[in-house]
Amino acid sequence: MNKTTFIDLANAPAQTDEELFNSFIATQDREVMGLLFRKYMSLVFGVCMKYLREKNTAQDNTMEIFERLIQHQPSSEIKNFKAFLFVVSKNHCLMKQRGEKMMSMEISESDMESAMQMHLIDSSRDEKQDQLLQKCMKTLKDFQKECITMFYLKKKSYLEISRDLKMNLNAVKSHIQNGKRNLKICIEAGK
Amino acid sequence: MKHDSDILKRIKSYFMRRKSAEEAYKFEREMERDPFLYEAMEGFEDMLTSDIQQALDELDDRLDEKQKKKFIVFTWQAAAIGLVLIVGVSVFAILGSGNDEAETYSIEEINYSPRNVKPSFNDMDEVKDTYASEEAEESSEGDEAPTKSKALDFAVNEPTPVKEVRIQEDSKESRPTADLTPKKTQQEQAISEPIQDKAEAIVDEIAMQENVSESTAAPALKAASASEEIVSVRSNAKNKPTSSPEGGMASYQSYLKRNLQKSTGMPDGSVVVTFEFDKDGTPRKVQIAKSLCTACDAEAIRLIESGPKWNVEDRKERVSVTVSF
Repeated sequence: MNKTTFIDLANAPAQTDEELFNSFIATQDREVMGLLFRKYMSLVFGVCMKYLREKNTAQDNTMEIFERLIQHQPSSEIKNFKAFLFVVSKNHCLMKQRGEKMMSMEISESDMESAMQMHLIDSSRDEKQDQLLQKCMKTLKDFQKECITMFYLKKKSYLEISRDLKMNLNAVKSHIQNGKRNLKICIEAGK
Repeated sequence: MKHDSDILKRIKSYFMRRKSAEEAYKFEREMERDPFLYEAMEGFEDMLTSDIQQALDELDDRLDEKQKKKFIVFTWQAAAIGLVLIVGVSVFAILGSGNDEAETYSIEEINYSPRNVKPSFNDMDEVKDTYASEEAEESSEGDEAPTKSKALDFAVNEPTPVKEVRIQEDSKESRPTADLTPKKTQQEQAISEPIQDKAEAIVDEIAMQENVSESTAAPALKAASASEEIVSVRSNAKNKPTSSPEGGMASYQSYLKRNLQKSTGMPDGSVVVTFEFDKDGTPRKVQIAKSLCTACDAEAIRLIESGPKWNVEDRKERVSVTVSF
């Protein structure tokens, strides 16, 4: 963070997000942030759509999030820009949804970790964890168990699962989400 | 400018079902791993893919414009501040250069006596200097002018009775001037306001230009989607004689109606899907020709894929079916 890096914008895509972000912090070059923001703008806009529901509101807030980033002075180094951007975007939208004004943008390291945590099923695990996972799978409700098994073990897409189980697509997705959440709770309790 | 990013490309391709089942699955695994992508996809659920693209194109322009506008506003602010300063300095210079000239100026144009205007500068040295110069000019009509003014300039508190009276007069007069300062700022505002108006007018002009370019872009988009529809209708007409669902079109229609799972939040309307067939007549490679909402699109695809087989003459030909919600 101490050294100032000057960015050749033409070669920027070769640089990692974190390098770009830190060079923005050092140089305060809006163009560097613009470049980085554009890369994930569709996701930011999508998250705004999820929480604010209305297109124009979502667009306005996407721009507000960009402004926040420009004005942001991080207290510590950003290790994962995408995770950081997700937390900033989500917090911003939640505050807007509640009609509050966000006072600070302090985001703790643990916030980011919990937001971007890879699920146990996705990450590699040892045998002991595997056994625990198997045990926890049995505690799940039937639909959750079935959806999780089909998605993760039989490698079927949402659409295929909804077809096989004659179930609404959104129901499949929520069974997977809820199943994952319950698994996580169960595994953490079993440790 | 057209917004384009790796992520958007993949999102669009997922929604348009341009991917194979394995690729779709891979994308879904990525969603489950990446909550950012997952929540964004939830946000896009009720949007048309073309609307997502358009919204992001607009955002792209706003991002560009944001930097440009900042620059323009900054320039005009600088120009406004500069002009106010120049006006202020030149008024000061005119007043300082000659009392007579300044007085006519102030009566005719501002209706302020120069004395009332001047002390509004907070700097006491300036006030003192002004008095000193006035004194000098007034006394220049008299005989002992140079010495008197000099003495006042450097030793204001000198206990000469004449001068003391003079200073007391000055301080009496300078007291109400404090009340006049707001007037002065108003005057300043009056000078700077037209400049800001001008700046705003120019920014408005730019905004109007933007609107114009947007409105010209919109019909082009509509035209594009219209031509797409025509294409799908054509292929439909071409396919009609060759392929038909097992059990006939009427029973196929009733199958679609019976098995449609419409969840709350799905809009009324229709989804047009096109597809090809397997060896045994099972629909495959289902694509969305006309989208309604992503959940609706998925439901339409589910209906077709899990529905009756077709009697197919030419497997290579794509059939188009409209699913009503």
